[in-house]
Amino acid sequence: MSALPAGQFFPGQSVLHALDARAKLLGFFLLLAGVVCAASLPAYAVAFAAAGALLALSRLPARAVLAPLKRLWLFFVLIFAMNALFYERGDALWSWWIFRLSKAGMAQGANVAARVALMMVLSGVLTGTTAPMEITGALNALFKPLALLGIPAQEIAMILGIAIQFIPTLLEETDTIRKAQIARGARFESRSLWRRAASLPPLVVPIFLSAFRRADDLATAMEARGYRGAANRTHRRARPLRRADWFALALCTGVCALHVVLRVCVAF
Amino acid sequence: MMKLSLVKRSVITAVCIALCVVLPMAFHAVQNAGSIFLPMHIPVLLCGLICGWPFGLLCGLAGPLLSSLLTSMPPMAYLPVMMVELALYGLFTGVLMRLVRTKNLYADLYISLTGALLIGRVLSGVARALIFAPGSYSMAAWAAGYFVTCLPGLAIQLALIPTIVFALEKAHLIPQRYPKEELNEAA
Amino acid sequence: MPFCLEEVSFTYAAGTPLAVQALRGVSLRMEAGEVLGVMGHTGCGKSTLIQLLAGLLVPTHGRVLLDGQDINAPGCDRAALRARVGLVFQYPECQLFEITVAKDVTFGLKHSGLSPAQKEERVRAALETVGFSYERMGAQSPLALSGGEKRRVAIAGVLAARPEILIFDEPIAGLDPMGRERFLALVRRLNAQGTSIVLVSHNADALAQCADRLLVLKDGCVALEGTAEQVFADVEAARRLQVDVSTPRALGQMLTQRGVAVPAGAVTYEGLLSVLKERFCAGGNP
Repeated sequence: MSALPAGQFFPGQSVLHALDARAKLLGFFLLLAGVVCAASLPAYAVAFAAAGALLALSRLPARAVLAPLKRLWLFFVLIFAMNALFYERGDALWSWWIFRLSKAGMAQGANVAARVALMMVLSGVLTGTTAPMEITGALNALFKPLALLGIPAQEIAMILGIAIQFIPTLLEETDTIRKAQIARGARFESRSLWRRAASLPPLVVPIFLSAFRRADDLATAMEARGYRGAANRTHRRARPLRRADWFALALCTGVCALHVVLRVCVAF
Repeated sequence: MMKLSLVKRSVITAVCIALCVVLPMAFHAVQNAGSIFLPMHIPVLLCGLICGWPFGLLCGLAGPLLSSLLTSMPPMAYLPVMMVELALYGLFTGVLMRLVRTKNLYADLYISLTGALLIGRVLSGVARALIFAPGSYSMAAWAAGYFVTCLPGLAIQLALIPTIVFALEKAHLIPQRYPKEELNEAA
Repeated sequence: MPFCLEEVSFTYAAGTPLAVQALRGVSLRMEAGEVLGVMGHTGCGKSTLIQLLAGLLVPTHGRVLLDGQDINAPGCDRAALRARVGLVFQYPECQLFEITVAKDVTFGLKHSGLSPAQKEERVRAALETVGFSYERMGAQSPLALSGGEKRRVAIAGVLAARPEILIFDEPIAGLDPMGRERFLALVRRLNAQGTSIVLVSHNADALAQCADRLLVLKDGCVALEGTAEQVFADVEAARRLQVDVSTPRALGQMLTQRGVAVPAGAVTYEGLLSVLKERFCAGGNP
């Protein structure tokens, strides 16, 4: 694919690259929780400042991280419209059939659009500074307590690990299949919805066939080597979090707490 | 389809989760159709149909989560809602596929699919009204969001999924649900 | 129908920190009715080259010309280009998806504007070219066939469009010896009918047998170009470029080192055998 996919990892030496993946993932969830709380202008100022600071600290190419936002402009218009037109509360400025435009609805629409944009930037920074395998490792570590509830956490982590390893291969395969069908005369660029829908089977059916073929090969190989389950596997001992990781976590907690305070104290 | 081993089901689930990430990217690259054709639903539904409910449930939860973490699609704000919706689809396709046995593969598939898609929509609408956006969520928004805007996606799912299952059976990648001998015995 | 590349460069993810330059200023001219072999170590730019030829990638610099016309120019008819240039990817069996073989082979003709009868005729002919009977194979599921049969069906799917230029990426990888022979016979048959062919392969023996001209790529540049005799003449040079010479040429080299001089031009088994026959059977002394 000549266009860079969203969520691409960029190797680098920034402060954020050096942090432990578990700390980054936890911090990311804390900041997300903060963003979900945001509902006032000061809160959004804090959130955008935090996202901007992270982007600067990561030393990632800003254009690459922000590109998905640009590509999804239609999506933003849609979520704004959906909220603006279907919001139940507030005085209606205009209404027709099931649509109902209101000031409160528009505010809600802007809210959602801003949250989504912030979350995309945050996750762009996370995936840009953390290699996919590190993310799985971190998820794996964070999932561990689930085993106490009777959930087969290690099996799930193994399935997730295999899933992540399959992603690049399947992406490449998808690209090849798409090109092969185009070379045979398939057209994916049509404007009409119906034509576009009809162009999907030649793409999707072979993708599933080859994905399942790979799954079959891998499962056969695992069974041949006597694989029974993930529970008895040994894991690399995780190293403890360092001071910088704790500091980053504390900062994220602070931002999150600030958001909660702003949510309670400041009206829109 | 009861003959798939546990390891095979695990790996197939892994592949379906990976496809939850890959298919939306492919659809966006091809024709910016990700939001219209709901590509992420297809692997989840298939996973439920083929591997059973625990795996379908996992796929429905992990697929959107991983996709959101890796590609920021779906955006985090929609992630919980989407996880609930897809988990319900994965769960109920698996449950229904186990309960419905009409001796006809296509009938089983269509009944399980439409059943799961309906139950999933009703329950995730309820979840949305009670948990995610209490008070601000109406019947009209539910109908518009779950039936009108995703109509092309629904049509694609109902057309594609039985085709894919049939192709997988033909290619001997999943065991046949009704092997010929069994049908002959029944007749 | 000369096919030209003019100073073509291609960079993946251009303008980002992940940019990778796959081709650097490659120029190439291909004549009508020619069989061009392309060799090179993994990652040398072979796949990029053929995707540029088929118009699936657009060069970062330079032009791809077919009949003197830039195929990436705004006014160029892409559909017509696709019909003229057929590309068979590596493991083409992965692209099969239809319920029957006949439907799958017809897929590429969907937008061709041919009548159903004409389409059926094309499909019948394409299946026969790869050695299948339309009656026997047409109604079967392509997914239940063996690997080699699937590949032949996939090739028929490209042949149905009757391209003037056919590009094969590693067409014999993973085939058994019978399948390999059958494929080389197919290449000769298609070439005899006037189709120009680009063969990308690691298999030096196959290329020595059927390519008129060979191209060796290294790090995105053309490192060697010429007939099989010329390219395989210097065994050491080929090894430095990380490509194999054909087995007969390697045998000839060994014989020469052990005192039985074999000319460098003997790159096929026939060539080597006729040299040896002349030396040992026609009364000459070894």
